[in-house]
Amino acid sequence: MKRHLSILFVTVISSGLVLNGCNKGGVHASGTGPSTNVTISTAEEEEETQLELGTFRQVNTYITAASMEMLKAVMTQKKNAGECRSS
Amino acid sequence: MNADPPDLGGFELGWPDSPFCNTHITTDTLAGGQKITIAYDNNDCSGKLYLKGNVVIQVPANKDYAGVPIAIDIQHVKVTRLSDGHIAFVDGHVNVINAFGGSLKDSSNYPHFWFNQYVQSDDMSIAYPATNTATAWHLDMQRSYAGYYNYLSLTTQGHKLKGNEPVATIAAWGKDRYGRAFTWTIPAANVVQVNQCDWKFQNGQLVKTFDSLGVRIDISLGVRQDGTYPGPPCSQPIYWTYKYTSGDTTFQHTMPEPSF
Repeated sequence: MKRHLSILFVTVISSGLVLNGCNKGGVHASGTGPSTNVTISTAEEEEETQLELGTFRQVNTYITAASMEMLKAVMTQKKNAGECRSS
Repeated sequence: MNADPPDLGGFELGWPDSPFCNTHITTDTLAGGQKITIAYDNNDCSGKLYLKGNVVIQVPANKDYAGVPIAIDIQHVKVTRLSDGHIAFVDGHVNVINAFGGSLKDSSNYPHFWFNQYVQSDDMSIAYPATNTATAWHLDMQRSYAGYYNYLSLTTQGHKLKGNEPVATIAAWGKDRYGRAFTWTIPAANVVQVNQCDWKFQNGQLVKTFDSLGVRIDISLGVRQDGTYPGPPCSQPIYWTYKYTSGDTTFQHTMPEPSF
């Protein structure tokens, strides 16, 4: 029974988050765990999208950097193996 | 420091500087391959972000990298937005498989060169310490590089099928820092970035959906300040159009491309 009350309490808090339109009440949703239907303000939604796009671009840069290094490695390897053309 | 272009004895690849701005790169030869470490501890090329951390690449020994998986380990890279001190930490393992190209024999048309690769990850995370929150990402993308001397363009498209759609459009999915399940698709125009424009988004469309919330966000990249396309030369600020749709609510406006 106590456990059920705890679950109910968490549910009420979660509902409060939706009603408040934000999650700034000291309870932090996380990217892990079950999916939620928290509603945030349109301004927060926009900020979130900007962060995600910026991060997407940043991660893309890491992958590009890694790919360039991979390409450099294989081309250097080929050069050392005498397979590069000279001009 | 910028990484030096490779000395290839007359076969000098047009080497893009931007991804390597202010990095220190070391290469260790391992049994069966190479370990390349890109160490960030400085501002990025744009001067808007401070990066600190390592990206480690495990390259297996092979003369032709087509079909060979390459592991990229993003090790808790701290990204600080200098304008306001906003901080995020990026972690994750990314597997890259070159579907085509990546070896010298594929570059016989030099100075033209190109290669295609698939990029997948199931454990990307971006943590925001200020709010003690984190996002969890999966990636499934196809990327195509095309180069000409010092010019390099990167085209990104989705590689995961959405439902019964015949063309793969999903590029990323996961949960945001509010715990909401999201999906990023690239449904129409592929996303294009160019090294000589500091890897800014030059073109493309992205759509973020929260299916359980009925929210859809359309992003059009690389537009002018008034929202018209094509966008300005890369020396000018690049903008993107943001369109929010939820039920009967729709609004749209154009804003500068975010640095982070």
